[in-house]
Amino acid sequence: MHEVALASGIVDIACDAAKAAGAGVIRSVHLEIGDLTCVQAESLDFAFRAVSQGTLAEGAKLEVVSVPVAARCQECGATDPVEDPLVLVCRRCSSPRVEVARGRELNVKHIEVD
Amino acid sequence: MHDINVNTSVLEANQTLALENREIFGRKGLYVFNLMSGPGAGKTTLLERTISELKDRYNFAVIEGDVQSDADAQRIGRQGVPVVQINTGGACHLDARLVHNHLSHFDLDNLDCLIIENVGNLVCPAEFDLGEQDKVMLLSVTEGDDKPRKYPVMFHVARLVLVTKVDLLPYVDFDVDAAGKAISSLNLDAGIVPLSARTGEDFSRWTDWLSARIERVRELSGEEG
Repeated sequence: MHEVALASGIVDIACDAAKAAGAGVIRSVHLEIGDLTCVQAESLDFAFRAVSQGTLAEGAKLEVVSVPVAARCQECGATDPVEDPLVLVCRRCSSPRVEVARGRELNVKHIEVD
Repeated sequence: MHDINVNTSVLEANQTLALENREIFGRKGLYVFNLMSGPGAGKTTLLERTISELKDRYNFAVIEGDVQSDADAQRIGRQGVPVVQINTGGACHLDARLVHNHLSHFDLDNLDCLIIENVGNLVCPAEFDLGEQDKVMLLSVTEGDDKPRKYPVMFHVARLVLVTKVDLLPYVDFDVDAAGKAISSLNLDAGIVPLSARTGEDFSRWTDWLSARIERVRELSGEEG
């Protein structure tokens, strides 16, 4: 359900950037979404189409690149993708003392405009 | 057609307000925690007992988040502490703006602890920083010990996980050790406290933890002030 809140945020960010650049219409919005977020891409797309109506982003295509979970080891310092996001351990030294380095992204990377 | 570089977090607007909230709480020496769980895990019951046991020592206030109704605010209000109900009207979580807009209901200078009871939902609230110092979550034994694996995100961000309703353990297939291991494999730093708010079993482990957190924030603000 929070996809609606996120979609509103995406529309605001995209429209602000388009207006600042003097663009007339947004053709596509490119997102980066980490695998550790609770975002369902199809729901987000649906919500985006609904909340973008009447804005510069109406009709824009939502392109999502997902970011796999990576962990930074606090023991050996390595940052590697994790094999199983449900068991966060370092791939190199097997230490469980890791922190999430990637996978929580929820970013608007760039937009295409005319 | 041309490309515009944006590189902005979707949660930035929320994050800005969350930082503002956090700054206010820090300045007032106020300990704030965000209480999260699925619906029916016992958040309000936990708060009733917590406030009842600690209200002689600390001044509490509560923000109640629910989709509808002020039933929870009425329950908390009976404890004689200031409470404000936020009805999200369908939204599945509280955000920093909602919290910010309701802070004026409280006399923050005379509070020790503000509790934000989030909307009952094991998914969405984890994404939204409210400016709290800690996220505390509940997992009731009636929900099952598989929940950390099914809904990992909230367990990732919790500082403390209270395993509630342990008085019902004889009647349900819930393995406390298995749940603890699953939580630790997601978040090694999360504290895990099994308790019952109904019988009071091991409840002091939680109230001791909470008291220490309140005192710590108070000391920090005293040092700065």
